[in-house]
Amino acid sequence: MIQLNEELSTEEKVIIEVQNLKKHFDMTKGFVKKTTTKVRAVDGLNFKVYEGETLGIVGESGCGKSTTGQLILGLLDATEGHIYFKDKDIAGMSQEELRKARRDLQVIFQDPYSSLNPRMTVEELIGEPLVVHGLARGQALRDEVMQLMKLVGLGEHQLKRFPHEFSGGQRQRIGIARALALKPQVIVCDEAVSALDVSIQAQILNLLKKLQREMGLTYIFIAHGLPAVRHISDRIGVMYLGRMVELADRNEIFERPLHPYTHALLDSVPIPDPLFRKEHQLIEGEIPNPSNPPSGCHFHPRCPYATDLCKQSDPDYLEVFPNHFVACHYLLSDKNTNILPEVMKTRKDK
Amino acid sequence: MTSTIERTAIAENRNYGKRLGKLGKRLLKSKTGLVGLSIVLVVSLMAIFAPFIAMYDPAKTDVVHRLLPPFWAEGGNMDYPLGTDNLGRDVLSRIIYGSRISLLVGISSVILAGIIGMFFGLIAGYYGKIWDFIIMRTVDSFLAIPNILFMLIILAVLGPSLTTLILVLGGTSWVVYARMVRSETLSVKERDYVRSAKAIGAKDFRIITKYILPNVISSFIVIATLNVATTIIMEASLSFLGLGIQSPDVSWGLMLSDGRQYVATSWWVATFPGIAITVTVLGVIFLGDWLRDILDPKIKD
Amino acid sequence: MVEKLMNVKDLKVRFKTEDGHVSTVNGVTFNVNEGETLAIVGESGSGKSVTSLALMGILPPNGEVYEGEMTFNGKNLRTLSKKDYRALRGNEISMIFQEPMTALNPVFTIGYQIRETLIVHYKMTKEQANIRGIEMLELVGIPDAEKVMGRFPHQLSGGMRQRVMIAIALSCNPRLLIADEPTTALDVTIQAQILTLMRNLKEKSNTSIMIITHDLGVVAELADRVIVMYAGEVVEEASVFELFKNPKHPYTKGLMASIPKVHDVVDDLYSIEGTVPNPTNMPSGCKFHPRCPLADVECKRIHPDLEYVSEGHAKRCIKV
Repeated sequence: MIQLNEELSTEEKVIIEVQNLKKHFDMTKGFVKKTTTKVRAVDGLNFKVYEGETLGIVGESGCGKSTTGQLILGLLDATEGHIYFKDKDIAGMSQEELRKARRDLQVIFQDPYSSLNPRMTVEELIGEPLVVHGLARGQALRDEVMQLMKLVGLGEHQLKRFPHEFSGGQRQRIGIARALALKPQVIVCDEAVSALDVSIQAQILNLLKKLQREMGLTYIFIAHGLPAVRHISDRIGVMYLGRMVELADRNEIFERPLHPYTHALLDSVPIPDPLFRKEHQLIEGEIPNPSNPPSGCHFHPRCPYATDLCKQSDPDYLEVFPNHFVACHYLLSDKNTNILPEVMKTRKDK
Repeated sequence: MTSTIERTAIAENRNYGKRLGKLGKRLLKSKTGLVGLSIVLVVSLMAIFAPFIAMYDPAKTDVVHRLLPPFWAEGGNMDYPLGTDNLGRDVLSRIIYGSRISLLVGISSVILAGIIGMFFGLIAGYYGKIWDFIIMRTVDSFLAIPNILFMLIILAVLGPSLTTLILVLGGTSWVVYARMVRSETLSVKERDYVRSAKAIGAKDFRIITKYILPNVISSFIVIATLNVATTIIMEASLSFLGLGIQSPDVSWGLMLSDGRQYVATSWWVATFPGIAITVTVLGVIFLGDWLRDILDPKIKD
Repeated sequence: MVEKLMNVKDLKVRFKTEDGHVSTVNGVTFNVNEGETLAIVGESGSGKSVTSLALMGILPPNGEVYEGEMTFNGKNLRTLSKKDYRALRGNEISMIFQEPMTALNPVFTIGYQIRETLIVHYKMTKEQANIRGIEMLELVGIPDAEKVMGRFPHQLSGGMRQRVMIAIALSCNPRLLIADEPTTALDVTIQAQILTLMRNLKEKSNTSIMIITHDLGVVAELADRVIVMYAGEVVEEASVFELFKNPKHPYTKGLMASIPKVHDVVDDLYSIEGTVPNPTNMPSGCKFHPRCPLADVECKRIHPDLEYVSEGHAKRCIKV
């Protein structure tokens, strides 16, 4: 079982490195007497993305996964921390530098109905990135657009149509073509298949995989649907209330989840087979409001193993097995040391 | 290669043709839209071709034939189909000529107000922060002053003329557009497609002109058409108060004002310009309603 | 012999649009038995939601049932007066929706909304209704039920709101509960809670449930029997175990193959090519033929009937 992914154990090139990333939103309430609450949407993230891989980020509402995506894209300013993209810090870039960096860093949005400007034709939508960066015009632009359309499976007769003339799946193809136009290195897929029908979801997932193989793309695949994430990701990070609670190779996460929240999340997914019908190991309670997260480990009010320590202090986010990161006190407590390898025990002693 | 271009060109034409056809079909289906469009067309043609349609010079007085009733009333005749006023001027000719100034004032002050309001609304909504604060507080202070009082003061100081009238009407009503455009911009700005424009590296100017503007313009045009109607009425009120159009120019509002004292004895002097205002305003409102429907980008195929 | 509670035969629903009538449900036949959970599965445009709205008598103003039979507990729903329909809804048939926020009235408290149904249908006094309301909230697992009675919908989380909706729907002991995508808008850990709740409630009461969903996982968790809809028709009907073990129709098979499996990773997913046909432009013959891997000339021509292959298992396909 404890088997490292061959690819990851060899020297992999890091393309994005996120260090202690934080994003706090100020929410002001009231008009005369203003009260400000801080929503810690993202609260100290550390992870790396390797070139050519797909890193899946899963979590429920309020976990900060979409905010993370927008921070990486530079669509939001980080409150604290760094996002190194090929050694340059996105978090510290000027607007002009960001504009240039966007040639390498693209996004596919969740809702194909709202992410395409309804007043532009397919040709304008797909060609726009090239126009904006002054890369092509006239016939060369049209040729490029046609090629992109072919790549994502759209027909050239659709060039002059408007987005509302397409079905959800086809619109998502337009969105993908638009993202690919600049030949980026990294694409953030923000719930890219969540709004699609099951049979269309499969088409788009296959398309994304095909494009990755052909163009050597790196994906950051943000989603709440675990099956899709497992299907497409090489590694998966699980977020809860602004923090990464576990990150590991995809099979590792599914076969040996360490964090109690990961356990619960995996167990909650209904399996499409009535023979597997079972009593879920339900976790109690609701997801807390991110403007008022619980003390210590954010998961402790819902965690069946929570102790006083969990209420008081934040667990460290540690690499307990090679390439398997987790943030949990319970795992590191004495009675569980048997499941942890030697490295960890020594680290814990320190 | 050529075949591809040709084919797309054909597809393009067919597509636009189809859309135009759809628009026509929709217009025929909407009876109020058709009525509105016809009224506005008739009034516009009347304004453009006034010298050819009108039988008399609108300023020509004829004391002998003063206060003649319309042709169907006793004492009226077809020489003056809608009668004459207290100075013997032909009411019909004056209405025809009056449409020029009423439309000119209505349309140009709306365009002026629209441009100012659109500009500030976009800036306030898109850039927010201090820009928003400054612009919106200015808008608030404009709104706090009663419009008519404000206009009266300015007109009294500058002296009434066609240009000042347009400037004053435009300069006071831009706040409506600014508020509307700002709030629309605020909501459009949060849409994913604007985020996607940022994500491909588009500059602010492009985002505002290609993403925000086209998506706020339909509500804008609807408000603008409705405001043409308000402005025509406003011009009438100011002329009625003696601060708008001055003789020998003629506008419907001025005619209304002139006819006021004869209402009891010679009703037609004030009634016909009144009807002209009402019908035109209704026509413009119908047209605005219809525009709102067709400007929705999702004309279903 | 199981009692048939709801009987739908050859139901057809059409909508009036600018371009004439568009039919979105084209002859749907099924029944819901006493005490069972029937799942209706399909993608967007399959007509599954429209079917449920037709049964509830709450189609949008431009929609109408123009053919077919709908009987509930022996009553013909098509000839029911508006008044009788209203009495039936919320009393014998209840419905819960995908987004509980839009289904609850934002300006009234939860307590008010629960009491209202009880007072209207059971002529209870306010006090009686209050007690019953609190009981219902406790039944659906809401802690501090008494406090929640005084809250407004926006003060509750999505999961809580869905529980409240279920409580309201069940407060009159309906014989049939129609649930339209009840967990689609919820987070997965909350979805698991609601699914478990629905399963427990079904065991406790004898309420029949008709659940409308696109999620085969939800079907597998809850349903006794399943009908699969495509382009306004039933393409397959079977018991849940039979359907998952032995799907017949190529669409059902394709749908199952195209879900990524949590426990079994493949390189490329099976995918059904093309898109769901537009109701204004339906293919000839079998409506699935343009997307079907088995289709041939016959399929273009012949519109297959729903045929039984074994007891309780029917399919609409000439090729299998």
